[in-house]
Amino acid sequence: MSPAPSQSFTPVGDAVRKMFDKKIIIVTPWYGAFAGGAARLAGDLARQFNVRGVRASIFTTCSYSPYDSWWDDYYEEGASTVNDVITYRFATDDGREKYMAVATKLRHGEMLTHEDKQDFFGSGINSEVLAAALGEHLDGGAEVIALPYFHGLTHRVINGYPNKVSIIPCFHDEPQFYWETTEALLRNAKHIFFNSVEEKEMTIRNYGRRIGRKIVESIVAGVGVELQEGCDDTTVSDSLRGNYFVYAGRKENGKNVPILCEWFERYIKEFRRDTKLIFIGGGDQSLVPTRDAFIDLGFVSEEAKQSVIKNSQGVINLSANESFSIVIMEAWLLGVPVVVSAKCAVTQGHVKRSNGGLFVESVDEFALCLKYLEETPRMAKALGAQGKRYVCREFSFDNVLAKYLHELSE
Amino acid sequence: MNTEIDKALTNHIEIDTDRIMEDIRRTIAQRNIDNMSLSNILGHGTNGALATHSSSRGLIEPEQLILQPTFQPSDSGQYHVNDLLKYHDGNFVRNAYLAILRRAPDSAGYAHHLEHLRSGRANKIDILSSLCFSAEGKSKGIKIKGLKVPATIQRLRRLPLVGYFISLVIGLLRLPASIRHHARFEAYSLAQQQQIADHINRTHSQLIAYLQQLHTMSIEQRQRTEQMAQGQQLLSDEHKLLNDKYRSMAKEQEKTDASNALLRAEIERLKQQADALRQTIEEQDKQTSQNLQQTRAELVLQERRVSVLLEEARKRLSEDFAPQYLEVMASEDRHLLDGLYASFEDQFRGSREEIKERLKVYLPIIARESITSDVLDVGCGRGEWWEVLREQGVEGRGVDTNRITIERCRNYGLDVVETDALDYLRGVPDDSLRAVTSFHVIEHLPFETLVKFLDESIRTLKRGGLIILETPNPENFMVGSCNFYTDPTHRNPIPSVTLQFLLKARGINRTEIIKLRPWEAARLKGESEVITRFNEYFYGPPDYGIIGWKI
Repeated sequence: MSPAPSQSFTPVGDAVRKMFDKKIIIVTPWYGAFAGGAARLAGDLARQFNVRGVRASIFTTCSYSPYDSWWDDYYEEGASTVNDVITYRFATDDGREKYMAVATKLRHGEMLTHEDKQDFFGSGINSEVLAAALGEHLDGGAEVIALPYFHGLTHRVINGYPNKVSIIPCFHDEPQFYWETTEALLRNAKHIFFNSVEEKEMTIRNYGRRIGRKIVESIVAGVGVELQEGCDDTTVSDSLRGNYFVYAGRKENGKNVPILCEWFERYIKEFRRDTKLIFIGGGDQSLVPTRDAFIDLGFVSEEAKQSVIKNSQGVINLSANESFSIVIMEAWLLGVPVVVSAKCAVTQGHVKRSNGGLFVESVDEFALCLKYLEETPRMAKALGAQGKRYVCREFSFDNVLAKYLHELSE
Repeated sequence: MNTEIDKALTNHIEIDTDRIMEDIRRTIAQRNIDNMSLSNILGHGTNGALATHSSSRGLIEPEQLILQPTFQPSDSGQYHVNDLLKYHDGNFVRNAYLAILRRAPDSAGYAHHLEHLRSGRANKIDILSSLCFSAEGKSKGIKIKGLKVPATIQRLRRLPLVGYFISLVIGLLRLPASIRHHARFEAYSLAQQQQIADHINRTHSQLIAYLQQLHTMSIEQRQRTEQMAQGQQLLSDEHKLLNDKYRSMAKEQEKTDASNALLRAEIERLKQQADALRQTIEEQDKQTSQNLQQTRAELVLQERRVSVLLEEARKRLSEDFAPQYLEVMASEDRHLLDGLYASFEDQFRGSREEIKERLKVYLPIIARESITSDVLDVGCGRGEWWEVLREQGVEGRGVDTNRITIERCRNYGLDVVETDALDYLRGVPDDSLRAVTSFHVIEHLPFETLVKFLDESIRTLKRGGLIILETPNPENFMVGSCNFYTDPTHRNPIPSVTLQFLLKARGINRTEIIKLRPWEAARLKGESEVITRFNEYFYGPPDYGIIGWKI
């Protein structure tokens, strides 16, 4: 497969900044201590815009996260500075009853009515007061970007202000993507910013014929990635150094963590290896087998995470449902190759375009790939270096933000 | 390999992930084929495990035939033309790309140059010069010594007309060198041929060895097939035996079916007999009921006659009768309704077994107090309680006035005295009884008689003795308002608090009330106050027992 041509943009410079004098508001359902993918993307965008002289802030609810009691106002209402970004919080609506009813139906595989789907998004994590407050800013000429499509707040602000609010959908290949609510969202969005080529292709396949040029002409902005300064090398003991692979992210079934554990166990057993698999991040700890080969570090600092990844033989992510995967980008920036699932179009696309790792679809392939990376460390290093070149070329913040500003200026 | 990677890293030559994956997949496919075929035939398959390499199994491993040396790209970016001319055909084109353009050939370019080379339209110098002097080649800045002159000559040769003479002159001038090259090429070709022949011979030997292995395997396989055939014969014999057994079982089954049919017919016949018997019994029962009714009617008639006669006798002959005769007559007068009350009890009190079961609730108390004798049951009726006590080995006596029920008790072998309970108690010494019991009697007594009964009972009890009384519970609205009055000989319902008070008032300080048989099945579901109250008033215990201890 030949690499997809990268859309060429001039990095954000003075000229662009001067041209873009509007205020940007990024709407995300939650933002704060809990750093899910969407919140992190929103925060990074706002911060990087500010660094480059473009005024950007975040509008969010008082909810802590989408996993816990999201209907509770964990944070206080009002303005505060979170991770160097001015953040405005609004009271969270309590629609849990209807939302839970639909969620239960979904879990049991029951047929959903149109009303059920409306309830799912109408009653999920949401804020009526936030939507009302946004109206004034839109009238004042602000550019609003909402994300992700999976939560009700995005639907409310985009459908509430048709053709005025842009979206970073973060689509996944999941039931909600195929609901009629998604079509309405795409029609009402001002601009659509895709995270990956595969995400855009999937959207064109499903909605291209009905919505047409709007989707085809939307851009793949990508996600900006950069490493924080500093790397805590003391995190990894000398005995472990260079003798382990890493899984970084939430431990959950949806990310294929049980399959990863099963395959890894098969690998070390068949090839009689002493290699370890280190887990970083939250989620369900019970998914990690209680055997010597598996080490769960849980949440660690950003510095420690970088150190663990940097000293590893590779980062593994077998999730079949990724809309971008910042983790593999970080691995590449640290010069480490990755092993991804061949069933995930997005991560496989990244690997093929970058030649920065390997992609597997069976336990046999998985085992031989790990063996290959372990036995040819110089080749592994070369793959990691290729991945790093790819990230620097495609996903530097300068490049990504230039795409956003170019689109928003139109 | 390492050098290759270093160069890739240094020169930014892309390592192709797809190619690595292809290699890995090829290895897996080969291993799967090995696992599926040879290893299985040899009987030591890996059970799907990830084996490292097939060579460990001692089978032939294809030997790579390499006729040209490995190409090593130069770090300095400088080559001599002979460094590249020593490669041939596809290898030459690939290495020329790697050396001059620092990348692998694209498929179109590779095909184009290879086709020109093979067709003779271009020679190696032409290809090297076209790559070197292309825009991409110039940008890479690779220098190839010794290329310029031959490339220039090649260009001159292509000039129309003049080129022909130039070629002729060069050909003549280079004739000795060409002959030398030709001899060298001939030697080289022969050496290559010899290398190919050697390779074929080695492969042939390996193939022969492999075929021998296959032959051995084939013999083993044949032996296994024969063993399998023998096994199959054994199985066939076994199958035949099983078939015979099956047939004999089928015959047995037929016999069993026939027996079953006979049994079914017999059962049907017995059922018909039972139906006929039931019908006869029902008819006899009907007849008996009719006889009973007739007897009752006659009894009532007799009672009336006796009553009229007694009344008439009293009117006419009272002055002439001695007092003891009058007492006897009065006593007989009290028994006039014995038959009627016995019938009433049969209908409304409940079956004998049912009442016995109900009364067993008091047995733990009797057992706890270790009472085995000296029990008096006042108003023993049909004697159910007495029978329960006797089954537990407890001795005692019952008193009653109804001659019908007394007769029944005696038929059961129970010791019952026909007398007025109060008269009997008055004759019992102080502190002589372990227990006085009375079930559904006190509600028949006038208040004064009840108090006297309690007094006498308490007097006759030993210290630690028990008095057990059971009576309808008027706290149940249905009992208090209706069911109590079903028995026309009942006087007043006695609430448990009243009875408890009376016992305390007459000297029994320790008492315990047991509410009996609430109608749980009928209770309404729910916890509201209305439902709770309703259940208590309408489905609460219809009877209660009170136990008093004489301390």
